[in-house]
Amino acid sequence: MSSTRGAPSRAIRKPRNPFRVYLIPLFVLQFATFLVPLVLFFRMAFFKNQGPGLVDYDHATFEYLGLIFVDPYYQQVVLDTVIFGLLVTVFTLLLGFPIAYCIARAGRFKETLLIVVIVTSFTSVIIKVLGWKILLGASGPINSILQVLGIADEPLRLVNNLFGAVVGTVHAVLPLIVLLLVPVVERVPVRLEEAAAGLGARRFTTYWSVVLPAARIGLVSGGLVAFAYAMGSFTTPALLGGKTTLILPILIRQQAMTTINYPMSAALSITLVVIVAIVTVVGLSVGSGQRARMKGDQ
Amino acid sequence: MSDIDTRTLMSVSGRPPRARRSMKLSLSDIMLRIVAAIGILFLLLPTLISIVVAFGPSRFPVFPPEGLTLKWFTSIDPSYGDAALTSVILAAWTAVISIAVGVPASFGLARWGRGANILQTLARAPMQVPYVVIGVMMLQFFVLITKTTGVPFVGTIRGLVIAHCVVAVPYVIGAVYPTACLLNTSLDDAAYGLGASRLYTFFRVVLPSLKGSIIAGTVFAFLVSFDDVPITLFLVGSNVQTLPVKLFADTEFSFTPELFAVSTLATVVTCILVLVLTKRVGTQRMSGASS
Repeated sequence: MSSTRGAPSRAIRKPRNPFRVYLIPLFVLQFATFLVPLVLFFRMAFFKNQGPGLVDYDHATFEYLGLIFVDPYYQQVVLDTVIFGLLVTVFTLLLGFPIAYCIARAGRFKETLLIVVIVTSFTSVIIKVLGWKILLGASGPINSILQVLGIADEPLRLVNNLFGAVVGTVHAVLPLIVLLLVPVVERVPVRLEEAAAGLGARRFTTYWSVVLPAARIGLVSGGLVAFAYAMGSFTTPALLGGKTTLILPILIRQQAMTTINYPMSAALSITLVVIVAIVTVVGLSVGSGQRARMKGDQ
Repeated sequence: MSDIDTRTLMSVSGRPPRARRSMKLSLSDIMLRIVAAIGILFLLLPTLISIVVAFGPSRFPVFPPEGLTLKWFTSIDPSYGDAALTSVILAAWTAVISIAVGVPASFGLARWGRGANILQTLARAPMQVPYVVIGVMMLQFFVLITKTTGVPFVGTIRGLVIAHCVVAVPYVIGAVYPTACLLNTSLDDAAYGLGASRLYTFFRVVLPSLKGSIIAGTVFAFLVSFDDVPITLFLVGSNVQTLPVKLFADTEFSFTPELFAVSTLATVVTCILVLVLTKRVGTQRMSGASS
């Protein structure tokens, strides 16, 4: 680009970037089948809905985006979605970090454990959901165990509510986060832990003040991936969350297919994308801020 | 041997064995291991339960099953077969097109120089958009295109392939770009300098060095398409139905042992595919899907 602007009389002629040609199919595809449809769809949010499936492009309005800000119903949905995303993120990291740590330090079992995680990350969502429906059902194994142990007197409602949706979504995103965190733990030198032990630190202290801070940036990016995944997940919460789990992706589908209010569906989509983008930007700056501070400490 | 092979070999063999200091297991070590073990069990359990339930004889799926039978496998409705065939054709087209677009793009990005990181982020932008949003937006777009040109897209394989490629190409780039960055520039410069054309160099020098990543990328693209519900849901029609969307719709309204039998078959096929390919290209390349 800058090369084409260069003065032709210059002695050293900078060649045009020859690798541009390799990118043409990609950017043509992304322009025609991603950017254009996205802009056209988001644009709908600013025009009036004219009955099912019809948009009045003569009358611009901020009604739908405004509604999401002021109407308690939509406020609740947005709040529920964020809570859902945060719950999934916290539990994914709480389970994911120990798994990743043990895999990274597992020696000769490392390959086998990694293969297990890779295979589960590619297993279809539907079979996982079906399994959870059995496991969490009123007469399922988990309720039976809880009753035998005397923890619950009668079957607990574990599925078709927020609990079921969170469990299922944590399960769906966990393998991805483990695979992301294993290289992060691998980069924490074993010598660092040995040094801490040699200096008399207890194992808990070593984990808490040596391993976790060293892996912090990886944990932040893993958390952001889990959050974005949860906020956008549809299949699992739709099948395990029941009617009470109304989060943005489910409402977007409802507005697009049942109510057929495209402007509202577009406004909700914009809200979802913007929330995820804001959290990602804030999270990344917090993560890199910590990196800068740690460098400053050295 | 290029430097990529050495790296892979090193990661497979791990660090050189060192004398283990006799570190006593403390309470926090044990806790960590217990949580990790529970986590691995948590990952495997639902799938294993589903597979076992598929062999149970009762009309209502239960665990543990009261016996073993194959009857749900032998009485699978032919409509599931049709849906499975559609899914395979769709996933194959998606994989082929995504590779054709994504592999040259990864190579181009790797050689771009300054600004490559921004371009790479742009190239993977579709990953930042929730699939439901992509589904609705493609539905709108296809309806508009059909209105102006008369060519149908909704409810056709063609429409589904286009929509799936939007999300599959970033996965291919995610698999191939990191390896393409490690390629030795002097190798293809040499081929080019010796008189080979750019095209010949790309096919005979670059592509063979990227083989492992291309295989991994193909699997990612295939499985992203083969498993997709939220995009496909908006784009299927009365004649074109994919396996996961059919299973999704059936799970929403009914709960039969047949669902377990069909998903068991699909999962066994997927697992074998992933296992074989992981053995072939190594765990490192196969774990790049998420990042």
